[in-house]
Amino acid sequence: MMNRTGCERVVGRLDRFLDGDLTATEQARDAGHLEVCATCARELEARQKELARVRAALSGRPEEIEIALSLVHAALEERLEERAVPRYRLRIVARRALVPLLTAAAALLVLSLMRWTPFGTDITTITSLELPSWNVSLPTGTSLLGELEEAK
Amino acid sequence: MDTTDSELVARVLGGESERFHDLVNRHTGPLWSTIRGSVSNVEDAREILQETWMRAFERLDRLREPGRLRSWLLSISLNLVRQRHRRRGVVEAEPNEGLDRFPDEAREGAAERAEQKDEVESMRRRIAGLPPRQRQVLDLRLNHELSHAEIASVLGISAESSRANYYQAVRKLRSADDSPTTEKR
Repeated sequence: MMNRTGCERVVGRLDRFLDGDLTATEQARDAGHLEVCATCARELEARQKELARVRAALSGRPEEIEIALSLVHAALEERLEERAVPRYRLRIVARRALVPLLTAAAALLVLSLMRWTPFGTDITTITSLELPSWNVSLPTGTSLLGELEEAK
Repeated sequence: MDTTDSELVARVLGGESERFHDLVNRHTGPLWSTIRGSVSNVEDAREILQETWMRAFERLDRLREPGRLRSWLLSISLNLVRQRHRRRGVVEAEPNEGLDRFPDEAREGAAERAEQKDEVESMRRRIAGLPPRQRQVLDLRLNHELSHAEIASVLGISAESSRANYYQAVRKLRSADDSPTTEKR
């Protein structure tokens, strides 16, 4: 039989003891008391059982959880598939976009190269132009001044 | 099943998206109970649960502390519950209202099992009779095993308030005699 004060102290903070909310010293002290005091130990056991009942009451019904779980898994599968599809589509789109992109790049390259060829320059400033084996056609309304040599 | 939440999260983010199913398996039980206890309609609860997981899946990379996945999931689901209540004009903070609305189960089985079920039903009614905040804290502490600091973070209250609500709830449940006045049938 333990002293009354000790029992009062232990039972008074038994909920905190069970919650692990006491300091290490307090926890050890009360644990020591509970080891030797049958009355307090019975109270501890009763409260532990009660907490187990509360836990059981708080946990959901297994059959409800099972249904909910299967719905979540199904929704997740759909989402995973959706995630996979855009990546696949992206590759297709990229491949399709590649042709016009390359065409545009090639056109830009040709245009930029033309800037450095006699065709890209202002031919009116050229004093002498030779176009071997080329046929030259001028847009309507324009004229070409100077002398042209015939291709040989 | 020793893989921690943090490890699973890392694997999902690392490209093993299908491992998200493991997280779903691990956390749906307690999550379902909380949601189910917060809305009276089972279909609503299912929608909220799904939405919680889908949001978590989409935003997993924003989870700063993967070790706190559980409280993060709870925050998402409780926000969704609040949104739904607001949309439907339901008075705020009515968690666990579904606890006393579980359908009756007529099952064969031993008398002992029936007795245990009665005890659980009786406890459900007593929990349903607690003030909303106390029920919430009790659920997060015992069902989700969150610390008071985590509960404080999820509910936007102080850790001291969490403790106070928890101990009050436990005391009330102990002193409650499951009288007909606390029953809501």
